[in-house]
Order: sequence, then C-alpha cells, then structure tokens
Amino acid sequence: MPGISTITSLPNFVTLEQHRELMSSTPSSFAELPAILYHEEPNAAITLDPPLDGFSPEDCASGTVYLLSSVLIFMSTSGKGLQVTYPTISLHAISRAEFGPSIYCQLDETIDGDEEPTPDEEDAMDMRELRINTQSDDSLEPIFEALSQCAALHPDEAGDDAEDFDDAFLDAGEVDFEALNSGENGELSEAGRVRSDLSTNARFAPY
Amino acid sequence: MLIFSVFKTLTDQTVTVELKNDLCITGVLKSVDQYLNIRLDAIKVQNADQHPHMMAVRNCFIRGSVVRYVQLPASAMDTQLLEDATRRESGKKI
Repeated sequence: MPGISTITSLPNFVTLEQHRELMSSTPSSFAELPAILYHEEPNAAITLDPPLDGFSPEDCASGTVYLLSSVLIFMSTSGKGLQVTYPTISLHAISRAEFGPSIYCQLDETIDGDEEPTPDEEDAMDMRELRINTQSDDSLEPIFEALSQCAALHPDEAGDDAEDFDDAFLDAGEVDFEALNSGENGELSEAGRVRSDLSTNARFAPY
Repeated sequence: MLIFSVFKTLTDQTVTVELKNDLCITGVLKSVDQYLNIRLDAIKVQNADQHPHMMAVRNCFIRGSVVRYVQLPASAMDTQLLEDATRRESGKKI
C-alpha cells in the first residue's frame, strides 16, 4: 500500500465496542477482521504541504478524520478521501501555533521503497507535513494518543537494520542450539531455560 | 531488548534525538516502547532554521524506525555496565 493515497470510500471498520463484542466469540475468519476505529473527528480540516496530486486545498478544507487501526483517513465533505499508512508517519505532535491548535505530522514516503512518481518542482524533499485542525482543543489529546497507539500497531518489518537486539528474529542458521541446551555445568542460559521447560520428557517419564 | 531496557532507565532525562531526515530534537524522554518509539516532552528543535515548522510543538511522538541517533547524557549512563551487558548479549548469539 502506498504511504499516501487518495480513496473514494471508507474501508469497513468497527468501533472499539463492536470489536469487543466480535471478539467475545471466535470469528469465522481471522483474515477478514475489520479495522478498529480508535478515534473519529468530524468537522476537521487538514493542510498537506507539499500538496498531493488529486487532493486539492478545497478537499482539505472540511471533513472527518478517522483513526483506524489500519490507516489514517481524512474523508473530505467533497467525497474524496486521503489515506495515510502509519509507517509513513515519522513523527506526530500537538502544535499550538498561531492558526489554532492542531496535530502536526511529518510524513516520510521513502520507507515504502516506491520511487517518487514525479519529481517535485521545488527541492525534492521526501518529507511532507500534515496538519489536522480540529474544532475544539479537547480533541487534540485523544487524537495524539490514538496516533501513538496506532503507530505501535505498525512496527517495521523484520529485516530492517537495528533488529540485532531482538533474539526472536534470529535466522535458522544463526540459532545457537548450545544456548538452548544445558552448558557444561548443567546451567541453562536464559534462552535455554525457556526452551527446556517445553522439551522435557516429563510427559513420558514423569518420575 | 537491551537498548529498550537502557532507554527505560533514562526516562525524565534530557536527550537529543537525531532523525534520519537530519532533524535534531532535544527533549525530555517521557517514554519508550519495544519498537523504540520515543515520546519527548518540552522539545526544542536544534536546527530550527532548516526545520521551521515545529516552532509551536511542545511534546512529540517519534517513530522508532526514523531515528538515526539518540544522544544520551553521559552522567546518566553506566558505560561499564552497558559494555558488560552487550558483551553478554552478543555472547549468547555466537
């Protein structure tokens, strides 16, 4: 999915309440679970700088912001929608600027690996700025929190740099089976301790 | 997880985060998660002339994947302890 795109209709989603009800019994398919709505903000406006082809300033002027677990959407009253994936949002913040309090987001589209479709006329910065202006200041904290929670739902794929610290992502060739079994004096490493709990033959030879 | 644990000990310290787009933000580390997403309070952009758009921002949430460096206060770091811990971590993997 491209980082920023225009859409014409909202995807299926459910509210947190509805999600809890759905999850109270096993769903028929885990693959088709609808996205969860974390926050909805009507009567909002956005500014996008530099602007996106196909989404005019008029489209930005009035609409509803949907913070779904899958993507961020601004559905304009004009009928056009703007969709932003969370990995694109490098930074978000509450801004208390002259033109009223807003949510400020820096968008970085380069992470997709897609080439920029057309070179910008101005300096080709890969950064875009998105501001969300709301009717009331009280919405800013909830939107900030929802953005933070949704960002945490979309970590980068394994295989990025800086995965070194996470033992869970060792390749098969790198797994140290020694560490999983006992060492010379019978003491288990931390990793080994967990594994050996599961691989005793206590089931077949309990005594 | 080691670096995550290190950052957890540094909450309420002032740190400077340098992003991959060269933005440098100094602020108080309020929280960090397992993906090294960072929340900073009372932020100040270091190179504000190149990045004027964050003037009125006080607190921000930075996605872990866009961080290039985090500058930590030397006084808050036990480098000997960290060295030992990283040595143990890499020792487990070999």
